Amino acid sequence: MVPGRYQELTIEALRVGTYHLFCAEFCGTDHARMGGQIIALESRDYADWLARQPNAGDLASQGAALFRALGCSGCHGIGGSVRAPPLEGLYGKPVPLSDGSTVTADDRYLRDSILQPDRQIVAGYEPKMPSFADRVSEDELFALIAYIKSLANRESLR
Amino acid sequence: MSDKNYITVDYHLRSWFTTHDHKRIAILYFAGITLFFFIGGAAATMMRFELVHPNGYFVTSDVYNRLFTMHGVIMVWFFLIPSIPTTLGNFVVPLMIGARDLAFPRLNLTSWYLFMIGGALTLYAVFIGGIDTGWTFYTPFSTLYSNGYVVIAVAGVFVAGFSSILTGLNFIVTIHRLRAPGLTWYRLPLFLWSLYATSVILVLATPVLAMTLFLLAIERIFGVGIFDPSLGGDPLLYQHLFWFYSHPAVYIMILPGMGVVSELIAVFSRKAVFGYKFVAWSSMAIGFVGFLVWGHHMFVSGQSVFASLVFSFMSFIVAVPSAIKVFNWTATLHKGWVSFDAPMLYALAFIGLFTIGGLTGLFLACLAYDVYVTDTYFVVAHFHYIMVGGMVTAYFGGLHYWWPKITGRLYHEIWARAAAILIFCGFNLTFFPQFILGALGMPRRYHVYPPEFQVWNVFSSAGASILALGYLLPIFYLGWSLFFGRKAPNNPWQATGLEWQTTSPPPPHNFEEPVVVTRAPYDYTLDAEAQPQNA
Repeated sequence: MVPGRYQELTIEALRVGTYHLFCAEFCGTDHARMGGQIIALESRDYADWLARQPNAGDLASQGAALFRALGCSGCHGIGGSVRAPPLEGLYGKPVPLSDGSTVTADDRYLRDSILQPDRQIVAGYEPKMPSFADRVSEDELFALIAYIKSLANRESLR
Repeated sequence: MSDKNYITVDYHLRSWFTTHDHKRIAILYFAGITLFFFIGGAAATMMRFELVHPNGYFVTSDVYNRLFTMHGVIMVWFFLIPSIPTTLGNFVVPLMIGARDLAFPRLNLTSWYLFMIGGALTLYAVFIGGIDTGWTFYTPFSTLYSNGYVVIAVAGVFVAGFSSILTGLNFIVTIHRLRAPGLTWYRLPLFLWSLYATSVILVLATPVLAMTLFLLAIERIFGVGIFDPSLGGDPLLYQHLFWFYSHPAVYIMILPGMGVVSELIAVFSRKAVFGYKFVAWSSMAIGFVGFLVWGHHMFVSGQSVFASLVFSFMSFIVAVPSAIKVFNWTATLHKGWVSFDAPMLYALAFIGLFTIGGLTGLFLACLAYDVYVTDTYFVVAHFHYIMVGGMVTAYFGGLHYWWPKITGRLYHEIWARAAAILIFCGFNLTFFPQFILGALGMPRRYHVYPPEFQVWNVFSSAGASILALGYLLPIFYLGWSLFFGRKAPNNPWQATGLEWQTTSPPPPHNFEEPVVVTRAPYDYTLDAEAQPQNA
């Protein structure tokens, strides 16, 4: 409930079935309609379901497509025209900032850096990145972060 | 003059609105809170009606959000908090201590006017469009997004808060300074100990509510960053401040009820309350520890785990003095000569329902389980067992017990018992299914819900209709008793308290002769007459 703080929750579905997802903090007019479902499937059924999805591919590859479409690769990719921090091997590592402090590159840091890039500047880089706050949806943000996570074990190619 | 009582002394309406007599002011308060009780009850009735159907069939989301906010705000601040202290307390405190009036009679009348102005402001907000924040006015919703009349409603609660503070101050000074000769602290009836503890909380906690609501209004009107993090505010600050008042406020509501029950249990089992000093000091302990548990409302709000651990521990501690009371009431009944008059039925219902409410409170004090049931119907059921099953039941018990003294008339006993039983059954049918709903995961403040929850909601709504009937019945038989009831004797229950040693209804200045207290309260014996405190 604290703005800017993200909470991760892992659930293990012991039984196959459909589970409710409710907004748990009164949030306004359509609070009672702000819900969703978690559908737990057997792994074989899940594979079938995944294969039947029109835009097949996991979150990270969706993120990779977005990464190119939004132009992120222009700076963060190989041979970018602007010098920007490489994202390979970034996730989970400490990042030195220009103010002398260090942060860990977790989900929250990545999210903040996409939405408010001016807040935490990586040491040795110019604050040139524009904010993507109005350009990416919540779902796209998840995909982008998943893509950056998938680069965690890669060596920087530069 | 000597044959005139406080009612017959002057019939002009003007004499009522300018009165300084604590008994008349109690009647004024009674009229006010009864009005608010039925307005808040009407909102609850509409909510239960809506919840019969899982698809949000009868009212829109906006209307439903306004209904539960109106129900909460009116019931908490304009019924539960003032109910026992300002009506029964106002009436009997000076009588119980052998005084002519409260210490500050004009201040007492001022409190009533402030209360009514606050209530009028809040009702005005309701009628011009309502408030949709929930009774807790949580930010950032209340300051940034709500499209209701938040500031007017908050102003109403703000003004009513001053009425609480003045009443608390009046009681503290009165109990300290105006006790009759011989009435030592340990000779005070337990109702007065509980009202004393209540008054201390009223005086210490209510100013924090006033400040909190004031800050909220400043942020909403002027956009000053107090709670909004994008303006440099702290989003958890509001919850800390709000619950710093509102958790002790829970004890403001329940402590007077506990005091009433202590009186009733003694009179109707013809025994002194078991462990008088423990019951007396447990009120003070609840008042004190109650200030240290507010964080248990914030286990999922993002406070530190260490803070949550401490608040969880303190919440278990605060259950101890409540349990002392329950055990001591039960021990008082043991080998007593128990009679089941209407007030006693309410007192016994209180013990059972309060125990269920209190024990489920311990579930919520557990960090792990609370994460699961936060903001579900489990919480709703828990606090209604305390507030309605406990507090409202005690209020009705006290109202029936002191009715002959207040009005000088006797009500029809059979009708009164029927209403008590109806309320008990209706209450359980309304709120027990809500524990099940909460454990199954149904969130509160939802009027659109998955169909598998419908059956328990239908039970709950059916119970609510019985409960509503139970609450409407007293209007008729108590109203009837005012005009056609038999004249009440001075001491119909053969009770020992000083309030029963004067006439029914009492004369304007309570006692014709100065009172001298010679013994402890509750000098009941099974085989002999009860000894009044001044005999």
